[in-house]
Formats: sequence, structure tokens, C-alpha cells
Amino acid sequence: MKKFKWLFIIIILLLVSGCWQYRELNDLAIVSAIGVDKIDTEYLVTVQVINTRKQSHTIQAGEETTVTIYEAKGKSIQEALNMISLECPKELYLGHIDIVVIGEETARTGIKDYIDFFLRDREVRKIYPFVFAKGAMATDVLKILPPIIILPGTNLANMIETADEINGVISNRRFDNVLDCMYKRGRHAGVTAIEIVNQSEKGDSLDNLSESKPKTKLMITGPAVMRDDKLVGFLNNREGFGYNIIRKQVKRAVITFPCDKDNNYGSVTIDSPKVKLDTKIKNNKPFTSIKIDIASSLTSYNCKLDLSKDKNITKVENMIVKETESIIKDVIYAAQKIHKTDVLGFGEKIYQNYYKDWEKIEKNWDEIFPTVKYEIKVNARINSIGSVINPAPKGGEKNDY
Amino acid sequence: MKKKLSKKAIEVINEIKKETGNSPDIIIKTIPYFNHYIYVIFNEMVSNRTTINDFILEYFESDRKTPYKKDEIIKNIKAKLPVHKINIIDNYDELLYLLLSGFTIILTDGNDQALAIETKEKLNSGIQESKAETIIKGPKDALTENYQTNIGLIRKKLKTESLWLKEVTVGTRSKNKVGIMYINDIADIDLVNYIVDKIKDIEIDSIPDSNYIMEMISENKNNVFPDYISTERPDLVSEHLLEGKIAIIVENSQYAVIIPAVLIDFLHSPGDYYQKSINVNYTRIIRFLAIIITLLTPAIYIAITTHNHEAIPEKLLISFAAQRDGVPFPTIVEAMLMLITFEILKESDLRIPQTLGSALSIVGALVLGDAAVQAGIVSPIMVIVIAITAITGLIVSYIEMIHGLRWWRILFIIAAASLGIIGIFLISIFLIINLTSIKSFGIPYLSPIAPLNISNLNNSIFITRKRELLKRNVLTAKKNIYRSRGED
Repeated sequence: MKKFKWLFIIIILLLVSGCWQYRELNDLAIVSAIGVDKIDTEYLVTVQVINTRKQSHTIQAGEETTVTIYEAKGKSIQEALNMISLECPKELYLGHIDIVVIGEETARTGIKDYIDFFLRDREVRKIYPFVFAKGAMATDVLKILPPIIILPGTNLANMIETADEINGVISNRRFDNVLDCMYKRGRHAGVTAIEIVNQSEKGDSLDNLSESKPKTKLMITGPAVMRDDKLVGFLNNREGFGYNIIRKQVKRAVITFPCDKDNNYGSVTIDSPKVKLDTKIKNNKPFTSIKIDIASSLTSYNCKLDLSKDKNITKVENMIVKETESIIKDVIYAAQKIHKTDVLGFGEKIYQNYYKDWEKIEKNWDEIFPTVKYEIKVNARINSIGSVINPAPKGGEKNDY
Repeated sequence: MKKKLSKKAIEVINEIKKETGNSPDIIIKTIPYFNHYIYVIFNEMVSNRTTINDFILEYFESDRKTPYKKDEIIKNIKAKLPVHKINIIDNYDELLYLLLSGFTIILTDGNDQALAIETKEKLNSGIQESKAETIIKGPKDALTENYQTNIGLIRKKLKTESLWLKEVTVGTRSKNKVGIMYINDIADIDLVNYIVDKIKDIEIDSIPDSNYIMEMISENKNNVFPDYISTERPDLVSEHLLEGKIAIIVENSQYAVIIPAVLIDFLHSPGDYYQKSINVNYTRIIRFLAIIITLLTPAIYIAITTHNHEAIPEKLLISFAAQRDGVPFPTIVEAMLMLITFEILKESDLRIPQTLGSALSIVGALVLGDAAVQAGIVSPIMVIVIAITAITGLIVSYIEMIHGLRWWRILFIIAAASLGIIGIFLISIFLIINLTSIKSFGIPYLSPIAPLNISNLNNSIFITRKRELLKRNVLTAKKNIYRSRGED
């Protein structure tokens, strides 16, 4: 008997735990996306539940929707989610949400209530993409069925991820990035925004997908500007790009510059530009300097300058510098004069380098920020001009490359 | 006190008849020899008739030149008979034992001694290929049921005078010879003596197999992990003898036993030594991986699908959820159902004749697996999980090890179902405690990794180039630590 003592102890230890937190996979409704809107004083919570009925072979893709939408109202987000259990046969499982969408109107009134819910919940991880719906309700965004990736939530998350990798218009992709920005002293957050193109009744049915060019679809736009927890406005795509250059969030992007007066353009692809943002106190006034170092490769070129000569390449580089400077100026103008909100993080540098001064001006920073002077230094370099030297010929001419 | 032989041959013969119940296979021939009789007694079933006819009976027919005195007959026959092994015996116990193991007994009147001449018939199937421990490249011969052949096979590999053999007879009725082989100037002599004493102390009527000996002398009685290697490969025996280990060979058992054995020995294969080391390392990584997979796969699957959903990538989670849709049982019941089914299939496949084997595998694998999924009793993913578990479980050729791991697999499954990944860690801790507490005849079971012994790591998880394998296992080898010339 003695020899089985330990075995008994182990088995009893395991069994008295009572299968704590035991949940079978098929008793869970896996939530792919959550949308939050505020209607008057109540929250309207929309959840996209993945349809896990045997999709694999019995039902062909396209015969039924891959997600089911549940909506409920409640005084808090938790209450609304709890109301959903009255109509959903399985327990909602939030551990794998792909995306959270907040409606524009709601975002303008402040989002700290949701932040509290998502921070407090143990199950939800904090790394999902967090977006605002520009000019729409979150619930409408979630109802749209996407064309390529079958699950709408995953589709949206993938759109954002791809744009983040190759476009440069996405900022603070994930919820934890947004929180980071919001709670750092001396700056406000920019949040990814999406909008609905051609909103129509058809968007939430499979009919929308029966055409090769779906009428209703979602699109990423320039980031939203927040002051504290409230949305104040949106940047356009160009400004959003500038914002991301300053915030060092560009991984790969394209800069297109005019190269002569006849509306001819060239494009370069840039890889993670090196940016140095610094704010100094000069004569009791903050002064920001931005240094940008761009390494690029020419990917499109329709100009008359002969690239086989070195000095012309320098000329093209200067065009890139000019274009970049103008983009940066645009975004600083938008932040200072239109939104009057320091999303760019000028104040953060004062907080880091001149702590005592920052303590004095912190309360008035929102007033001081629009008057901050700045200088921009851009250095651009073309590393490669591709497989051909000059623009592709019309044909019929004699060319020597 | 052993009963001495009587001087009268007829009394001895009567005693033999009485003891063996007048068995018809005991042949007693009376041969006139000068002026008296010689009695030749043998068991026709275990003796070689040619030897008896050609060398013993023929000799008595032809040797008529000089008459012997009555009391010198035995001595003279022993000196002149042209056979290779003759014993002089003087008591009944020995006489009966030798008679029944194939010796021919020669009795004469007036002597209280008898001659026992070795005329054994080789009752074995000959040296065959190893079936349980197959390898791609390397020697193929396997041990047989014949004791002498087995010792010969091992001696053939190690032609050194320091390969010593101690012999003990075990079993009051079966009287099996048990040989303890070791290399005198490498092995730990204290351990050899200890083992010999232990084997002498065994009191049992019969030893069917070497495994019996081990269960009796092993110190880890309640442990599922084997602390000895049971092998049918003489080359493996000789390799281990050179490490200072001890081999036990039991008469009528096809399996030699090597002690001490540590965990890492079971993860090696005899084939490892017949290929390029660098390529063997790849195989070894796979083998170690397979052991972990076979131990943990069902448990991890259960843990992540019932407790720790956050640990699975989302797309896999959706796929798991879709596959589990409509399965009526909890995951643990599903897993146990499949595991037990597999064990049943494995057992019945062993029992039935080979000609029916293919029929069984068709029914078992195709019909049961596919139909169970179609019927919605188990989910397809569970079939995959159990199949992986089963396949990886067969990668080690030492079946004792695999069967030991089964218990731990079940423990892991229960823990995973009740506590999730925390439970798996909990049982892992118990497993490590268990492994570290085992000693195989004084050698820590996890050596040379715990306690760490750097000089022996050259053939543990990885094997270095053969010419760098210069040092024997210092835990088992006590003298001549280095394999080649060089300092000792």
C-alpha cells in the first residue's frame, strides 16, 4: 500500500481541483471582432462570432456566412456582453479577438470606459489592432462581409497588418501601442482609422461578394488624432504618412515626387527612415528639430533628367528631400493649427530632457504647442536605380542602354 | 548431505529408475567388458546418438587388448575414451542432473564413482537474425536459447583473456545455468561479487527468462523505468562489457541482460555505432524529440483545448473547434478511448498469426479510425494526435521503456484535463523527481547529465567522432579508463 501512496496523493490532488476553468472548445463561441458604440447613455456592443459548424467539407464556402453578429445594449460593456448570452448558445470567448472597432461618435465622447474593461479582463490579450470607424458606427463596420479573407475580423486585422508593413499610413496598430501613447507624458495618441466605402444595405449579405468588385467595402484612412481619451479629428493620408515618419513607425513606404513642370513623377521606395526628433528650450521657448535620413531605391521614373550622370541623381535626391519636407510641414501644420494637439511628441522630448521646465509648462502645453517653432533637415540617398537607367522609351527611338 | 553412489551398479540403476519414474526415454545398455559388465546410461531425447555410437559404444567394442582391474576401470576409461569432456561423479544429485542435461553415464560394478561424458544434442534453432532489435547496417546475428552458443557469440566479439565468466545454477527444478560475464580489468569487481551473491540467493523452482533474474535482484521494484538493458544482440553486449558493465546470460533465454543501465542507454540504438557519427546525431535528435512527443502530445492537446485556449494560434483554434463540433464526449474521454483502442490493436496484433495481421490492420486502422470520425465519436484531430503518439512511441527498440512511459502518459493526461498546462508542469516535476531518485545498481539514472559528468558526454545525447570516444564511462569502468594506449 505504501508504494501507491504517492500515486494516490497525486491523483487526489488533481481531482480535487475540480477541473478549474475547464471549458471544452466546442462550448465556446470564439469572438473574432468587437465593436463598441455609445447610444445616449447605453453601450451598444457588437460581437462577431466565428461560425465553427463543420465548415470543412459538408458546406461549401459561400453557402453560409462564416460569422454571426450579435448585438446587445447595456450600461457597461460587461453587461452588454452578458446580454448576448441570452441569444448565443455558447459562452463568448474573448481570448482571440482579432480587432476592436470604436465608432466615431463614441470616440469623440471619450474611450476610457472600454480601456478599463479591456485592461481589467484577464482573458483578452492586449495586442489586437484597435481602430476607429471614421464617419460610421462600429456595428456597421463589423457587418460588412469581406471579399478575400473569409472571416471579416481576420480580414480587417490582415488589412491593417499589410498596410503597416508596406504603406506607412498605419500608426499604433495595437491596443497596447495606443495605451502607450495615451499615457506617456507630453504627447497624445494617433489611432488607426477605417472608413466604409459606399455604405449600402447589401454590405452585410453574401450578395455583396457575388460581384468581382464588391460595392461596399472597408478602407484604411489616415490616423485619428486623440486628445487624452477623446477623438478630435482625422489626418489625411499624406499627413498620416508624415506623422508616421516623425513617430518612426514607417517600415516601408513610397514617396512620389514631381520632377519637372510637365506633371511627370518619380517614385522611390523607402525603408525605415532614420529619424531624430529633439526639442530644446531656447530663450525660454521650445524649439524642435527634426532630422530625417532616407535611404531609398528608385522604383518608378518618368522624367527627362539623364540618370547616367551622377549630378542628376543628386538632383533627384534633392527632389525627394523637398517632397519629404513638404509632407512633414503638412503634418506639423495639421497638428498645430487644425487639431491643436501634440500627437507628434514634441512635448515628450521636453519631458525627457528638460524635466524642470516641463513641470512648469505641462499644464499649458496644449496652448504652447501650436506656437512651437521647428526646423526640418532631410537627407535623402538613392541606393539603387533599378535594372534600367533612363525611363522606358516610347519605341522607335534609338536608345543606348 | 548428498547421497553417495552405491558400489553395486544394479542398485544405482534401480535408484535412477525410481527417481525418474522409469521414464522410457532413459536408455540403459549393458555391455560385457572382459569379465564384467559396463552400464551405459543416457537420455535419448537430449543426447547426440552419433557421439554415443561412434565414440563410446565403438570404443568398448574395440578396446579388448589389456584387461583392467575392477577398481581401475573408471580411471582407465577416463584416460582413454576419445571424447572432449568427462566428469567423475560420486553422488545421485549430480548424476541425475547430468543425465537429464544430455550426458552419458557409465557405471561399473565395484566402483563408487561414475563417469559422465558430454554427449549433448544441440537442441536450438541455430543462430538467426535479430528480430526485435533490427538495424540497417551492422552485424545481424542474435543470441539463441542455447547457453553455450550465447557465450560463444560474445567471446567471438571479445577475444581477450580478461573476459571472465562466473557461473551460478538457479532454479531448484529447472537448474538453469546463469553466466555473469565481465571484463576483469575494467569492471567493478565489488559489483560483480554483489550480483553473484544476489543471484545465488534466489530461491525459485524455475527461471523461464533472464527477466526473472532481473526482477528478483533489481532494487527499483516499484518503478516503471527499466534499470537494465535486455538485448538479443551480442554486439551490443560486447560494447557494454567494454564500458565496464556486466552481462548476465541465462540458459534457455534468448535475451542477455546488461547492468547497470541508465536512461540515456535506452535512447541509443545499436545501429548508432555502425554509421557516421555526425549523421547519427540527426537520428538521435529525432529520437529524443519522439520520446517527448509520445509522452506529452495527448496531454498538451487536452490542456490547450480545454484550459489554455490562448496558447493556440487563432486559425488553429477555429479549426480545432470546427472539428470538435458535434463530438459528444469530453476531450479526455475521447483521448482515453483512442489510446485504449490503440493498445488493444497493438496487443491483438502481437497475438494473432502473421497471416491474419494485414486483415487486422485494415480493420483497425482504416475501418475503426475513419468510421469513428465519420460517425462523430471522435474528432479527426484526435485521431491524428493519437496516431502521432503511437508512432513516436515505437521509435525506441527497448519495449520495457516504451511500456514504462505509458503510465506517465496517462498521468500527464489526467493532469492536463484537470489543471491544464499547469498540470503538465506539475507532473513533469514529479517525473523529474522520480528519474533523479532512481539508481541502477549504484549508478544515478540520469547520469551523465545529472549529476553532470563532462567526460562522458561524448556519447550521451550526441555522439562525437569515433576516434574521440577515448574514455570509458567512469561510473562503471573502474580500471583502464582509457580505451587506447595512453595514460591511465
